Amino acid sequence: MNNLFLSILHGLILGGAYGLIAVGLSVIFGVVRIINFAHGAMLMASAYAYYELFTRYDVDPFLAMIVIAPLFFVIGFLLQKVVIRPLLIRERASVLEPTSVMLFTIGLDYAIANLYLMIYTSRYKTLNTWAYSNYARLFDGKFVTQYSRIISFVLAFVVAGILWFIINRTELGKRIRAVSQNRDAAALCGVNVHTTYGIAFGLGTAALAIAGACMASFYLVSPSVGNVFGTKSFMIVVLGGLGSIPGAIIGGLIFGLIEQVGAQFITSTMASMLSFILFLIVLVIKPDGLLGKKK
Amino acid sequence: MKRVKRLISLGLSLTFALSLVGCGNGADTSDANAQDTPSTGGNVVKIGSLWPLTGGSATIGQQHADGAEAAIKEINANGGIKSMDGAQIELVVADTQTAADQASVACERLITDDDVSLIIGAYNSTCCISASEVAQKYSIPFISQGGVATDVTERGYDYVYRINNTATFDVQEMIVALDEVCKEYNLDTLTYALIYENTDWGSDNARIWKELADERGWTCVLDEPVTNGQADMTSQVLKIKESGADVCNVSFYTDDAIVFANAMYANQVDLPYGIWSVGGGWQDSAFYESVSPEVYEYTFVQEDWDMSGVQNKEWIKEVAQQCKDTYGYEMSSFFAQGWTAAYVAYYALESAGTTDAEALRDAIANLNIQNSDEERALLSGYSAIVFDEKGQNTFGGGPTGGTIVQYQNSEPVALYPAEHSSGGTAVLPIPAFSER
Amino acid sequence: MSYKGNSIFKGKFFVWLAALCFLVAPLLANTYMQSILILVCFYAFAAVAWNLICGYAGTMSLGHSVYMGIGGYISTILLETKGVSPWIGMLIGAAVAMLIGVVISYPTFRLKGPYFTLASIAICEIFGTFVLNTENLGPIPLKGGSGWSLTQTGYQAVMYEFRSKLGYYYVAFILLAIGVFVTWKMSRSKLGYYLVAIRSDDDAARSLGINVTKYKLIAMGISCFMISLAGTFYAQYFRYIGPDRIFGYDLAVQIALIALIGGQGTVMGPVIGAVVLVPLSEYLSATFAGTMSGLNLFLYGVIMMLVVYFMPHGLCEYVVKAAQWIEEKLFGAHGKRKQSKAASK
Repeated sequence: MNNLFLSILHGLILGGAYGLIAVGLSVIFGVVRIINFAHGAMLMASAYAYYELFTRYDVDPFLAMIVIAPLFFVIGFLLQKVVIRPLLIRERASVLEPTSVMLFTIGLDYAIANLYLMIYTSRYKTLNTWAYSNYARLFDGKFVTQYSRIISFVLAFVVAGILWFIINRTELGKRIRAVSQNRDAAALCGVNVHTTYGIAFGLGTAALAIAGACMASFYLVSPSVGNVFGTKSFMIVVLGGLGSIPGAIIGGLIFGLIEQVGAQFITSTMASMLSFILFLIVLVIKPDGLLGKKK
Repeated sequence: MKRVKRLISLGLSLTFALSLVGCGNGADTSDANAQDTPSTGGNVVKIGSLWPLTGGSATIGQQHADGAEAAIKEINANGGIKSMDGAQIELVVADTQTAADQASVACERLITDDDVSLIIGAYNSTCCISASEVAQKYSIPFISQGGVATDVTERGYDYVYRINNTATFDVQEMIVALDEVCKEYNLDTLTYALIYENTDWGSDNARIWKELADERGWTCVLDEPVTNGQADMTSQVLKIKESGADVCNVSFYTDDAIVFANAMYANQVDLPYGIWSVGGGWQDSAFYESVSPEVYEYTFVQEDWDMSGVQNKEWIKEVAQQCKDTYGYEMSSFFAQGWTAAYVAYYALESAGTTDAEALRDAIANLNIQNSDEERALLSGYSAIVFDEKGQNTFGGGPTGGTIVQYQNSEPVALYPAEHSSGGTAVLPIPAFSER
Repeated sequence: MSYKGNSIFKGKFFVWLAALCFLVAPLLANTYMQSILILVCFYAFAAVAWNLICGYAGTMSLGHSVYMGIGGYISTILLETKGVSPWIGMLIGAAVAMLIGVVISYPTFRLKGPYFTLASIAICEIFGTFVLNTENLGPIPLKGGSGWSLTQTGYQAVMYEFRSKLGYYYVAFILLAIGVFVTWKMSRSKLGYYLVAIRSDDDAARSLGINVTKYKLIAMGISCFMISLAGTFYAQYFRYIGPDRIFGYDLAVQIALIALIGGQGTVMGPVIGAVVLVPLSEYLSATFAGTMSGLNLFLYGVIMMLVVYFMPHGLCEYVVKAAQWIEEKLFGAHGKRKQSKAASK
């Protein structure tokens, strides 16, 4: 039972969590084709929602998910339909500014992160739930990890599976795929493009809310926590392939492995550099990502 | 819709125009040398309080700012600056955003726009360096608190003073304490692992530890810089476990400290002579609220203040309660550092009796604050504050500076140096996990 | 962008007017305002450099500060270790930054839109992480996380150090003037037209026989050269340079924002962006940072969202329109103007 094997296991588990955080972004990115720079901030906001429910009502985040995920679905849907839609329409019409949605989400990211800083201050908090404080021990105690991490790993596949099912096996999914492949053609077929965008955004945000429950259960809650996972999510999504759900999970697993296994041989700082370099190489060689489909 | 759009556009344009005006607002014709106006006629003296309130060090900076605020409140309530007819002190708070260039800009604003008479700040070494650079240029005294880089007081700037330890001292305290341990337990040599956050604070600590350890012939079995924001430190912890080190030196801020400490405990890493933390996250009460007591049991922490004071002095217990009531958290050394810095500024003003920059500078240079049961300035527990010719507090570090404590039964027991010891004994070698 | 009739806010005249304002402003201001003006010129220049490749060619880079860092580090290391004057160091740094920029960008240019943006962020992170963790690159000291604190050379102008703020201001102003001039010249040249074509639709441009890659590389080279000059200025003015800030995502985004909100792809856009955003963020910091941590940045984010929403082409257009409206009210409407107003409705 050497450290290499253990670190592979840890890398996979961590990677699953990364994948879960990224999968929501992948759906949004893949369907609506916008980089949502507020992704990290929204993850943080969902974590604080769980924090409130846990500290006030003693509700475990994994239970609270049942309420918070639909709530965030609605938030995402409204965000897309009310706020982002006019920007998208305008963007389409004019050649001059292909960046307004991206800019808008940058502003949104600043605003949300600092709003929470104002409300909660910068003190780090942890949710000392059962899953956070208790450890699973396998292989004669050599492999130790929080239960919350294992649950997150499992959830990553569950959520990915559900999303994949929705997108590939339902009528709604057909509309989503149509709209992501060719907006105008879809519109010609009678698909309400912007409602479908809204649903896709909502699904992505709901997935993000679930990821928030996981993160709050194994990591920390603070206004800056979004930054840690935000940038990584973009890399993962692109690495795995825009709009590819399995791609997001696999991208996450790869990142997790690089971090944990890499740290066995080189310093973690070099390992993080390595993941960025890998990302660049994949981008240049295969811009559609590992599992992306050629357009 | 078009009209609404135009209206909003106009509104936004007005906001921008106003901000240009607003920036100039309050700025009189003062230039760099206008600070030599003699003793204040008005009854308010302004002190700049420059800390990272946003960005990576926000939580620490906020505690410093709170400490300074509490101290000034107390000073004002006790009659303000008596040598200036009871002038009240106004703290002008500014945010460095944990960025050196923003610190420069903020310091510039404090001096030229807010007309402060002196400045305390700025926790992060890089911010202390660049902000004090500005202060020196304008000949405004800068009392540096928190920045440990040697550069702060090595530039020959006569307006810059530093209260706290340099990184050298912090680490030295621990090494000296370990020398004691080696003597007591008849150890010829030690093997050590280093794990630290990779910005200047952690890297400096690691480098200095290595230098001092090399002098003693100790062996480094692991040197592990870590980027901030690791969601999982198991891999690094497994490396430490495998290295078989006697001692592990840690430099982490609160978030990484929580993840690290949990991982070390979960993986039951046995270190015969313990985890030695250079403060950081282990000085933040948020850490202790987040991890269970077994996690930090037996850890040695280098606290930047005299922990025994918290346990023994009545007035300190009162301040701690006050901190809890007003700010909602347990008082930490960060709070105490901010408090002390504010008090030093006050004593300088009291001694100089004027806001004249040169007089203030000389007053600071001649300060002699000795610790006693009643000395409220020294919440942070330095045995004294006396600045040398470089502006460094000679009692900020070394054997009479901070305290090394070990957590036993969830309580910090002050152990080293002997002067700050509460009389307890170290639990060494650390009981292996299998025996706990 | 439509400039009306004989408006003083039209074209060249506007630029000269702005130049005059910039030239004279610091002489009327106190040191605090002067320091803000210096920041305005600095950020404007950086944004102008960014605008060259990103505004005109449509490649949105959010990691451009990396070239600033390269330039700043090289000139600083040369100064601190070999005593080379930063003026010379600046040029060396700019040449190196240009070279690195062109070499790195070449493979990334075929990435579309958001992919390119993410690549630029990754590149910046890689450099930043590398410098943060490296004390010495062979014989060259990098000083890792501590960064470089510049030692005083006694306010010698020849060593890029000035006693008074005005010295720094006019250096920044000259840099800005050069940047604006280069942008203007370029926008009127073949390169400029090709870049606009590339931004509109680079496949179409390619099909017309335009060597897309070559022109993008030329624009990138000029942009990297210029922004690296800004990097040296940063080090000399703040007297400190460190990897966390100069290779940081925040700085890169700040520069991009100034150009984007001011009006990308225009000559004066980044300048207007800086004139508006720099004092605004300073004002917000000054007023709110003490009362409630984060309030200043929150408001900044909200204002950014509002500007993106209601002023899609950037502030440039609205500022000019507003100014022209005022001008019209002051000087009365001429028949000519009324006509063109009706015509453009």
